[in-house]
Parts: sequence; structure tokens; C-alpha cells
Amino acid sequence: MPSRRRFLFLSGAALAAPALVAAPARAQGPLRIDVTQGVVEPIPFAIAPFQVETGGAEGAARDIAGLVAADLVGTGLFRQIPASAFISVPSSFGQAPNYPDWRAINAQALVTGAVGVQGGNLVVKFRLYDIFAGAELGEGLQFAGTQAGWRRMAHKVADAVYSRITGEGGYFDSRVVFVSQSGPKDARTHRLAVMDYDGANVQYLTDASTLLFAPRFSPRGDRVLYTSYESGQPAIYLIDVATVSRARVPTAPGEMTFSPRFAPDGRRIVYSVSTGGNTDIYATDLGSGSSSRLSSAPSIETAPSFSPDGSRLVFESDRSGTQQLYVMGAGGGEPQRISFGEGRYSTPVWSPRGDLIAFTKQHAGRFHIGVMRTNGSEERLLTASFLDEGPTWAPNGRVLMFTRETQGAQGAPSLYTVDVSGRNLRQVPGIGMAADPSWGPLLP
Amino acid sequence: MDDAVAAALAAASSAAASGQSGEGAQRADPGPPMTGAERDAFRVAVQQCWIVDPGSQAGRVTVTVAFELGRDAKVAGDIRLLTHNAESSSAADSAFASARRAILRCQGDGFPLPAEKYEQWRVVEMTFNPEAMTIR
Repeated sequence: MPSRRRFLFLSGAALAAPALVAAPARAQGPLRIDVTQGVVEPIPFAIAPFQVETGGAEGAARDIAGLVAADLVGTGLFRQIPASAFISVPSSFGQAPNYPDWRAINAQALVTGAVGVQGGNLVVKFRLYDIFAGAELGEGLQFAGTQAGWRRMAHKVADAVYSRITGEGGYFDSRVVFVSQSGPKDARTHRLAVMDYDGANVQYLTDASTLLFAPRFSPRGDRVLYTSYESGQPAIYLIDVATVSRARVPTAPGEMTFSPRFAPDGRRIVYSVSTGGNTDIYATDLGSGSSSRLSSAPSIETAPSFSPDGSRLVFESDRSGTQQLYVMGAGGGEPQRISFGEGRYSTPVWSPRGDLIAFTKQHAGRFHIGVMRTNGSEERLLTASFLDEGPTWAPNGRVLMFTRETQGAQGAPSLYTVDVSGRNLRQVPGIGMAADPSWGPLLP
Repeated sequence: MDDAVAAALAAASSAAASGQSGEGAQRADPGPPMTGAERDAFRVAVQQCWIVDPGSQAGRVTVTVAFELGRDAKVAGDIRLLTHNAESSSAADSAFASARRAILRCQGDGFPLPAEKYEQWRVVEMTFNPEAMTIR
């Protein structure tokens, strides 16, 4: 039985071997340390100048690197180390960085890239390095697109970098539909518009002939529901973003229909119907046109929003005497009240992550954007001002955009974003007067 | 003699003869245990480099990592993830990377550890628990 003998012999050797060396005086386990307090501050990162691989790509290389940096810094989670601090930079896209040089300036991550023009299209490549681990973080990626679409490629690079470092999906390559306003307060005009998440590339979907409000992107971002006074009374319309062709949506009958929102499958919508002073929530299948009533109460039920799995709805109701938030099944049924704080709650929106509900709260003469767990617990107010309202979630559930209106005769609306932590409040730049944002999905 | 056994004995004899410290061979008397102040100094040195993002899913993940320190009180070899309580692998990866960066960034010229107690801190298990920093 050679195998048996071998086992016994080896065991004996294993026992004997320690006797040949100095044995530890005492068995020693690991030192166990608990770290419970870190720091909340931006992660320092660097972007090396993007390499220019072909003639004619110099401007794009500079612009793309700049926009990647702007996206990351704009989250409030990253701090860019200026190029003036660099000790060395890789001489080619394929060359690994000299890690000690980047550690010396405390860069925790390094983005390198290269841009070229091939067949009239831009080709963008990038790599991400974890400086202190001394290794590439994920594999290099390459994007190609039209030269006019350089911003989208930059956003895609930034999304990939953000995702690899934070472990969460990005949101930079996305668009927002909103109501663009112009003119004095007593004669203001409204147009439906879409923009990149950062306020760039504003495109108008309608003219300024009609009062309209509360646009909502479809789950794929190809269509927009909105409410318009085009027919004299509020009614729901659907517009195709690419063709800007629009049509009134068949709904349950009523004096007014408003506050529409898509189901996650994009085939059904929910909305409010007001008749005889009573407002309830209805659903319509866009394919068949069939409608069903989801709430039935002698009060105002409105602003429905689906959970990401489509199984539940959160909405506002004044059935208790003041506006509060309620949750019910997507097919209707007895709702459960989830808001119990002081003040009035409205415009609830379920997070794409499914863990939080954002809302508008009015209390003591101030408006707030807040979030709470889906059972109403752990309410947190993220903002406070004369008028903040109508939150919408970034596709990764990390950031909220909303309308902030200033006070007085010259008061005007504009769009702001805030991190779900309550930090990093920023105004969306360059779009003028704007209200009612609805954040679309990440673009394909 | 069986070749494998001969190799094992040769390796053991070689280690004994060389008097190497650290990995698997000769180990010094670990001396008195680490004091609370010494452990605190180590913890503080790491936590000042531990960047937590309380709004993220990774910012709610507790990870325990293991690593060895050389006599220079700097990390020798890899930092390994032992356990985590994340619901997704991406959140676990991110939380682990954050912990690893904290250790590597703040080791500088070596952590403030008593040289005479090297055997007490040669092997470290460090738990990063952000629960106290979670947004509520």
C-alpha cells in the first residue's frame, strides 16, 4: 500500500520538520483591527493628456479628456489633480504609468486615453489605473462614433470610469426632457425640450403655442408623455423624440387628464382623471387602448409612479385631510399610507434602485426635496428653498434633478441636481428658465 | 527516500540554517501584547485614508481584509478580501478597493507599530465597517 505508507511518512516528516527549526515561543494569531470612521471627501484622480493618434484629432482629444474630467468632478465624488502637478505621463497609450510618480502626487486613479480619426469617425480609447494597487482597473475600452457625437463618447468613458471606481452604474450618457420657459412671469411661454444630462445639446420638441407641463420619458427614452392645454383642458399627449410626431393618448373619459407616467414595460401608462371635483388614478394599455380605474375615493389621488419591478405604485392623496404619500398594488387595491411627518408631501418618484422614494415636501413655508424608504421610514430632506419641487432620478438612482423657483416678481424656475446624500447641490447650466425635468435612461 | 519527503526535509533544514524571519521559518518571541494605544495608532493611521462614499451601495458594505506586514511595517505581498456583506459583487469590489487604497496610501514609510512586537502585528486582519457613517 504505497500510498498509505507515503501518507504516514509525510505526516511524520511534517511533525518532525518543526523540530529542526526554532519553534515560535507562542502561537500567534492575526492582529485584528476594526476601522469604523473614514473620511468623506472626493477621490483624487488624474487624467493624462489623451494621445493624438491621427492628424485632425487634436481638438477632440483635448475636449474629450476635458469632458470626462468635468463629468467625474461634477459628481462631487472625485477631485482632479491638475496637470501641472504631474511628474511623468505615459509616452504612449499602451505604456503603463510609472506608479511611484502618481503615488507621489496622491493620485488614486489615473485615466489615460487616445483619440484618432478613422474613416471620418472618431475612435476613442481609454484605460483606467488603480495607482496604489499598481494595476489596471478593468480592461481598456474603445468607442467609435461621429465627430459631432464626441460628447457622447466622452460621457461613455466617464460612465465606465465612474462605474469601475464606485461599483455603481453611471449616468453621464443620458438625457433629460423638461419644459423650457421664456418671457415675463405674466406671459411666459412653454416648450418641450430635451438636453444632455449636463445641459448641453438642447433640442426643442414643440413650439411655444401651448401651455404644457410634466413631461415623462418612456423607459427606453424614445417617447415622452406630457400634459397639454392644446384642446383647452389638460389632456395627455405622446411625442416621439426622434420624429417629434405627437398624438393625444386615448384615456379614460373625464374633464381633465394629467400627471401621466409610463410603466417600466413601456406599454402601459398611469395618470389622473378629474371629473366633478374628484380625481382618481387610472391605467391605460397603449397597445389596446383599454383603461382601468385603480383608485376610487372621494379625494384627490394623483402623481402615480411605478416601482422598478412594476408591481406597486406610489402616489399622493389628500384622503387624510392633507397631501400624503400612499403605496398600493399596480392593479389597485387598498393603499397604505407611508408619509407621516409634518407638512404636505407630493410628486413621489420611485428610485430606479427600488430602495427609496423621492418627494416634494412643503412645511413651515419652505419646500424641500426629500427621500424616504419605500415603507416611509428614514425620511431625509436633501434641499430647502422658497420653492423646490418635482424630483426625478438619474438612471443609477444616485442623483436627483428638480425644479427650483426663485421668489418675487422676477422669480424664475431653473433645474438643479443634488446627490442622494444631500451633498453637491448644483444648478444645471446654460439652459435658461426650465422646469419639470424627467431623467431618461442611459443611452444605448 | 521518497523525493517529496527529501525535498520537505531539505527545505526545513535550509530555513533553519538561514535563520530567516517571517514567513514560516524562525519567529521571534512575540513579546507583550499590543497595547490599546498602539492598536489605536495603527487604526487611526489607516482610517484617515479611508474614503467613504455614504451615498453609494459600497458605502454600506463591511469588508474584512487580510495582509502581512514586513519588519518595516509596510505591506508585504497582496491584500486579500476575507469577507464582505455586500448584495452585489460590484459593491463588494468597490468596498474592497477602497479599503485596500486606504491601507496602501497611508502606510507611507511604515505604519507606527512597535518594532519589538513584530510577531504581534506581522499578520493583520482589518475590518472596515462604515455603519457609523451611513446616511440616515
